[in-house]
Amino acid sequence: MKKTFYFLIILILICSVSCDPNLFKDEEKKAPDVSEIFTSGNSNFTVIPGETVKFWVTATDPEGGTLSYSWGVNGGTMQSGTQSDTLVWRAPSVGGATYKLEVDVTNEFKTTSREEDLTVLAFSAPTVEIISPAENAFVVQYVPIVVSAEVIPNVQISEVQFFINDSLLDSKLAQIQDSTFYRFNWNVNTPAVQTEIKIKAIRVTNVSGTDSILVKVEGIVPGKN
Amino acid sequence: MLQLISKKIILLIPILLFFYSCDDITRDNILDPKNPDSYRQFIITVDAFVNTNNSLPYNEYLLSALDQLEINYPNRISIAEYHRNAGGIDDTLEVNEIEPLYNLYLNGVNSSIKGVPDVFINGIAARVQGASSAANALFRLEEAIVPLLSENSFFTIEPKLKWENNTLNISAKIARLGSSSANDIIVKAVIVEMIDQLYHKRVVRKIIRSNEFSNFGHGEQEDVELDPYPGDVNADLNVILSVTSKDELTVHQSIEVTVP
Repeated sequence: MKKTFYFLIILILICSVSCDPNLFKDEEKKAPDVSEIFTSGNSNFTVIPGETVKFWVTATDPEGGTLSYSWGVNGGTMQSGTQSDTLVWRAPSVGGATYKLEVDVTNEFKTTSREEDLTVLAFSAPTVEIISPAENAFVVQYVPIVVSAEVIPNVQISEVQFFINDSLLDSKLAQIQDSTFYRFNWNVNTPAVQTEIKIKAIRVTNVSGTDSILVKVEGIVPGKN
Repeated sequence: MLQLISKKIILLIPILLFFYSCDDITRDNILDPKNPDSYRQFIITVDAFVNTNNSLPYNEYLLSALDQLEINYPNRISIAEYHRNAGGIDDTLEVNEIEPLYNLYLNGVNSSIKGVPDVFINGIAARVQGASSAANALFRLEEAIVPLLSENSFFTIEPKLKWENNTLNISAKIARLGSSSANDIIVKAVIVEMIDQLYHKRVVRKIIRSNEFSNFGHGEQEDVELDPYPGDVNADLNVILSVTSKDELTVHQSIEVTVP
């Protein structure tokens, strides 16, 4: 009696599984083949503020069905084609930010996604402020100090330069850490007179911002003997 | 008989009253070392390490600023000029004790950068190194000294100087004021000489140190006798006496006296 009962249960389970035609077959269905995203603008996806750019993908459906498209960008204006293979997008009028561009291509069974970072170039000068030393501070000759400056906004900065009396002493190519501060070591090996410290931040667009201060270098006769 | 007893009692009354009233005197005089609220005005020590043999003007700027500082704060600062060799240029006024003291101060401020002029104020309470003009040096010195002027000192020093057989005997009575004791202190005498009126007004000739006092209770007084200074009786000398921590990095009080 027991054996018959278990046999019937197993039979019902096998039957119910086989009744769903997609249960095992679904894994064999293929997602759409989608190319990388192409652009009518700069190939590295940098655009200038207000620029209108086209993005597109080429896609095929291995299952032979119809594909649907869905585009998204978290900034700017999607002007047309959000449901087609080609999107027309207008960049914001103010640069200096990076946006995420995404497209989902879906067939009857699956979705393939592609994404790119869109950089809208900054053409406004960055604000530079020398934090230390203070304006008109006294610094002692040959006694090293740290000159620090803040660059705001700290985006798309290609180089920050450090000048003493208009002579370039040092430069930093990029800010490694996620900070707006740049620091330079200065050995104060200049004559004991009023001296100008200047920091210049240059954007990738070649637009630059500067700040300068005057300090008083206090002279010493160095060394032991 | 009764009259005699009465007379004696009458005589005893003022004596009793005297003792009674003595007991009752409150110690509210701030100059009284036994008064727990006693203190003295701080006299600031200014130790200026300089070299006046080189061709650069920085040391002279600073020395001019010190002259003005002395005028601006009369009787509030004691200045000593420690001449030392620097920048490959000897200063003939250097004496043996100067470089060790300079090293001591530099260690105290965790600095390895030697260079004169270099001024230490009240031990290492403040430091002013370098000069670009007398005005700038004065500005920086005042910035360092003014906050210290409002501090009180809890030591008083009464110096005694006496020439004997071409030797200057230096002693002092030191008293601890206030309500707390002090530990690990020494008394230091710095002999300074006016050689000329230009840039050698307070040239250090000798530093003499007392033995250490491990504990100096409040209200306590000590007579301190320092090693004698064999000098020239005709020299124009001053002595700066100071009470400092054993490591000399903290100055508790100082006084400058002209040698008779």
